[in-house]
Amino acid sequence: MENRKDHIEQLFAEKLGKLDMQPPQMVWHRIDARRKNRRIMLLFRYAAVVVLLLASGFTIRYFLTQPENQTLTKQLVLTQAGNNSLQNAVDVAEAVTASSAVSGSVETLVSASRTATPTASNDTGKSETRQLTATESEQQLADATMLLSSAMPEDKNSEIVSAGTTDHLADSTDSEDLSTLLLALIPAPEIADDVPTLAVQNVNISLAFGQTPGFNSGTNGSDGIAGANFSFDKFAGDLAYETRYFEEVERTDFSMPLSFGLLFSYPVSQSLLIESGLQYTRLAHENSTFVINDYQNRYKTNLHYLGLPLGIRFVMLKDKRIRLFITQAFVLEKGLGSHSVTERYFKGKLYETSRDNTHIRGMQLSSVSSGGAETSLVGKLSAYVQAGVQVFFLNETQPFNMRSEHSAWPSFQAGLRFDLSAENKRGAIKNTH
Amino acid sequence: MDEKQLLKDCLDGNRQAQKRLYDQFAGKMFALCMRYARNQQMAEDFLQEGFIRVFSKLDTFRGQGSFEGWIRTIMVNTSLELLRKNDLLKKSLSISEAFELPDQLELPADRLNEQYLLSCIQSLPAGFRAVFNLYAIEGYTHKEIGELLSISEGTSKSQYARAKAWLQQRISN
Repeated sequence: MENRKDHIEQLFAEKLGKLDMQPPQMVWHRIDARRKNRRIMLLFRYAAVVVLLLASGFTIRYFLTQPENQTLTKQLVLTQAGNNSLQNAVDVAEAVTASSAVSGSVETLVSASRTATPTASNDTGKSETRQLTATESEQQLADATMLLSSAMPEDKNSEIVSAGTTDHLADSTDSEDLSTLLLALIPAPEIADDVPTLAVQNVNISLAFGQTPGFNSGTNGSDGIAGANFSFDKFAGDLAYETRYFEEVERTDFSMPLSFGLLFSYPVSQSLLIESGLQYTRLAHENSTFVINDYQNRYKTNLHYLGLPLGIRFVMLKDKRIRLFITQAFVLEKGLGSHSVTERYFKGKLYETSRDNTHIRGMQLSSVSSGGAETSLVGKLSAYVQAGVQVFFLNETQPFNMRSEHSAWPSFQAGLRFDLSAENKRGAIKNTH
Repeated sequence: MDEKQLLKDCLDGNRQAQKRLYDQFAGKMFALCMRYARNQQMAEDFLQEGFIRVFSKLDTFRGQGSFEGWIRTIMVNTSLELLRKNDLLKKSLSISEAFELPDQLELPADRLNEQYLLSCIQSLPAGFRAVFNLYAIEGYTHKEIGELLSISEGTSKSQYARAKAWLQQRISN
């Protein structure tokens, strides 16, 4: 090291450089306690990861196996309904729904249907079919349809088979396996366009544009000697690590955050959908320091986040034109990077610019609660808007941003939603009565 | 017990060894933290966090250079990081405001005793305090300070000059 010390430097270096001051004994006790807690927290984290992985695995398995069962279930039930046994249809619905939840296998479904509906197949090879008038048949069918729609979730493959007293059904019930019989129903002999179908919900994809309105927070000038130069929310400010300015910040301006992404919706019932996807968010702000000796620095920072939202959407009201819904989601965001530009001014004139990219550690969790409306545009394309509140669960790892100042912000989102289902109205077997 | 054995015992999770290591360095490191902190309570927080990091990063010490120097580096970095978090943007004053401060420090008969010098440093705005400590006492260059604090070399020089002038004024008054 160069010999550069003057009197002041020497004085402080000699007097304070090798100073020894014993800290209070309680400091060691706090260190000891923290280290013990840290070990416990690590165990909790590992346990949480294991639970999360298991839950994800079960969820994926559930959704992968569920559609097939539901399709068969509906076909079974409606077959029974078509055979004029409404009560049996209800029994089958309950039995099959219960059994499919347990085993999820086709064999179980068939077995359950046989157990619950002795009228479906009998030893003599004839279906115990009671001839109905067309009105009665339609009424029962409508009842069964309503019952089913409330009892079971729908899926992309489900279709409502409007089966009346089908002769080909009655003839084949005795000799063929019921599952084979049911599959034979799918290629409908006639397609009846005028037969109403249940609304078939499918996987939707949404292109979403979101905004969390950031307010220009303006001057944060010091309010008195003891006042802060920066109007941090105390809790949030305490947790905002990695704020990089070792200078006195006079003013901070936040830009309105922007986000966009893709969301996938999967219906679990007629009114309830699970949503997930990916979303990108940009946060930006500018810090200006006090002018000292005619020098001033301005730091422009852009933070880029990639988020994984997971939530539910509940459709409260369905109309031909509009659907109203409420949503609740959690968003886990990982910072992709922080890009900052430093501008240095002397007497108000820019004389130097430098750029810097830094890594963002850790994750950001937030909760979004909102309500909105959706309207059909063309074909399977619809548009929606939603508004609500986004609450950020701040942690020690995130760099300073507008979320550091307040943890709750209004949230607006607008987007286009596209129904990915291959067919919404695949058709229905015409009621032969 | 020599230092190598002490480190090995600490790495093995021996709590008694960790306590001995703490006792050996706590005094010097607490004095260091006092220079970066605004007050004793803050210095205790720096010391606590610093030693937690020392214990958790002990396996990364390769034995190159002195162990005390390694601990000192961790303490300095921890103090700077916690200053960023807690102090600077919330309560830090500009140097101009510090100049306008009424005499909060009672001038002792011996203006050059350690306690008085320490309180002078502690009364500096946090950014100036950090730059002065790093340059005058730790021996960093302005270039290194600029990289460490993410400020320009010029800013470091400017802040150091103003901090030194203010301290000189305090001592000579």
